[in-house]
Amino acid sequence: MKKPRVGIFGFTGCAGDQLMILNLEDELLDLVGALDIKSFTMASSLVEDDEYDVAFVEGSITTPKQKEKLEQIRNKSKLLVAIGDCAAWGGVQASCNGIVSVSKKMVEVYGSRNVWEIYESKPLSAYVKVDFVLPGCPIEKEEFLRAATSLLHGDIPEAVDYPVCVECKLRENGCVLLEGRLCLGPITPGGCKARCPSLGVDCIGCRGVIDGESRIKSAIEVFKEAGFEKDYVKKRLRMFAANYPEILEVK
Amino acid sequence: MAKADLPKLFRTLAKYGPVVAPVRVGENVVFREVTSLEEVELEYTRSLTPPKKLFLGPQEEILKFDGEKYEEVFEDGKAVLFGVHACDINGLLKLDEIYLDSPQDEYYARRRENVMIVGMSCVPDERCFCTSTGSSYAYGGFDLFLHDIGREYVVRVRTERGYEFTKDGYFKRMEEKDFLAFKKAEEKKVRSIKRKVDLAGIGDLIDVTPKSLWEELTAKCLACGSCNLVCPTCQCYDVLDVLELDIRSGSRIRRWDSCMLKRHALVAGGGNFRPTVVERTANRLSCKVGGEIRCVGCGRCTVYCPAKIDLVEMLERIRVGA
Ligand code: SF4
Ligand code: SF4
Ligand code: SF4
Ligand code: SF4
Repeated sequence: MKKPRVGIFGFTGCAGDQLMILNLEDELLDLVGALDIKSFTMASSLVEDDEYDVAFVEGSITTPKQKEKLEQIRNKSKLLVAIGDCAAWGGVQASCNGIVSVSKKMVEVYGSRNVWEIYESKPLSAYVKVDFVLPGCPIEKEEFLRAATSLLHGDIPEAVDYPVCVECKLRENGCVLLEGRLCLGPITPGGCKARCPSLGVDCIGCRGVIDGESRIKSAIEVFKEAGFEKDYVKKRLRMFAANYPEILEVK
Repeated sequence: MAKADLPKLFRTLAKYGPVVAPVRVGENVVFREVTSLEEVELEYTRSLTPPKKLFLGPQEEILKFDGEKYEEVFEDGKAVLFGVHACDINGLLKLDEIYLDSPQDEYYARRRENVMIVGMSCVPDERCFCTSTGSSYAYGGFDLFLHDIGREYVVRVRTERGYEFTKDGYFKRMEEKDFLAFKKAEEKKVRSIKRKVDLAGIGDLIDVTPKSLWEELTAKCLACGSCNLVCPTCQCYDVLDVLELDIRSGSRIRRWDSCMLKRHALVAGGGNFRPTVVERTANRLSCKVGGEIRCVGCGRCTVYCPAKIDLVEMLERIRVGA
């Protein structure tokens, strides 16, 4: 069997997801053996001008140049997988989208609005077709490995389309939301084995939302009844998923 | 038997196999393996997840494969499930109707065979409604059942296997006063369960409930699945194969599923015959009380719903139709 050609690319983000892949110490060698890794902007500086069976792309898109590069990657790749919250939802850097304008941010950070052209931080899907999303800030390395294995087998990986609550209950945790913390578990896709509630703290939603499934309006109502301030709820919702239409429009 | 002799019984039971019993963890009670009676929460209301987890694990490997052959994985050693309440024993009997019906589920059946069950009287709270579902008393489904009558336990023996554990000298024959105390304790328990729900014909009412009422009843529902995952009678599971990097070997996992989740009714091509919480909730309620009563009134789905959606309140509104 010919090894699948894989490209790994990064845009605006902390490169934490690529780091998670390198953190797969035990499996990394097998992984490198099974895949023909053509471009890995973190592990080596090599960027081959090639075609890819799968492109794993990290980071959000914030400049015209990135948009162009992303389009090139899309054209060269059979499958494009967004990895991490920035690529999936625009990341923490999108949390003020629609509230603070890009030019205001420019002035605040660089003193002038004309340093260079930037966009509001957007997920990859704002510009190109994304075939699969591995969410998380950062991604779960086991999930990456499972996805890579499925792709090797020729399957689209299993998407987590159920909330953190499911894993929270499978782990026999009580409910921190019922105990008075604003837990975003009910609207956040699982896959992290309910890491935070299992430690007794609330889920901050680092895996974004479940597209078309998360019950944002109901969650806002539940949080309101639990006594949380509107502004606080809005900030919490925006932290990792501000670009999700139902969250973007929360007043 | 005298309560003071419980440690003796515990020690003999432990000879049969590892003992799994209710243990307090923070605000909740969960079933865990214990090595001494001191760890056990003898007086509790309800465990977070039901003891069904011993027979149908939340997530478990059922077979391994290597590309050529497969091997089933059975975790079916002997064990003692200690301190189970009547509602949960009745819940297991309801699961039996499905898992032991032919063709029986071998994983479940073997464990059911090998795990001994010791029931224990309960401490109901305001969210229990087991008298409305006919599950406040366990007629069968256990080896031994300990009823707290004050300083002593009345022990009901249901199986030969259970009987073997009652041969030690500290078991006394019941006298009339014990019968009376037992009757009194049971009556007191039943009286303390104030929550009632009328389930007669509720299945038909569920069917004719208008969408507008369903929308109101489910407005806060987060489609989180918790209600199913804590239910002692939820029987659905999902099966998935997890491959190793060699893409030949791997294992088959089964885990609890929930009809409140998107994937439960997702079919090939992306269609979903229960797209929203409205259809999913109608399905859940129909499954529990629509035909045969499959709810044992334990109250877990209400207690652990992050949106505080109350099953009994929903059923009452469905009866009223508004
Ligand atoms: S603690 Fe959070 S994730 Fe867990 S069940 Fe409650 S709301 Fe869901
Ligand atoms: S519980 Fe929430 S915040 Fe914590 S790792 Fe999981 S998705 Fe991220
Ligand atoms: S439906 Fe609710 S009350 Fe009934 S058995 Fe299940 S968890 Fe208990
Ligand atoms: S536990 Fe509550 S919020 Fe979650 S799916 Fe069930 S009814 Fe809806």
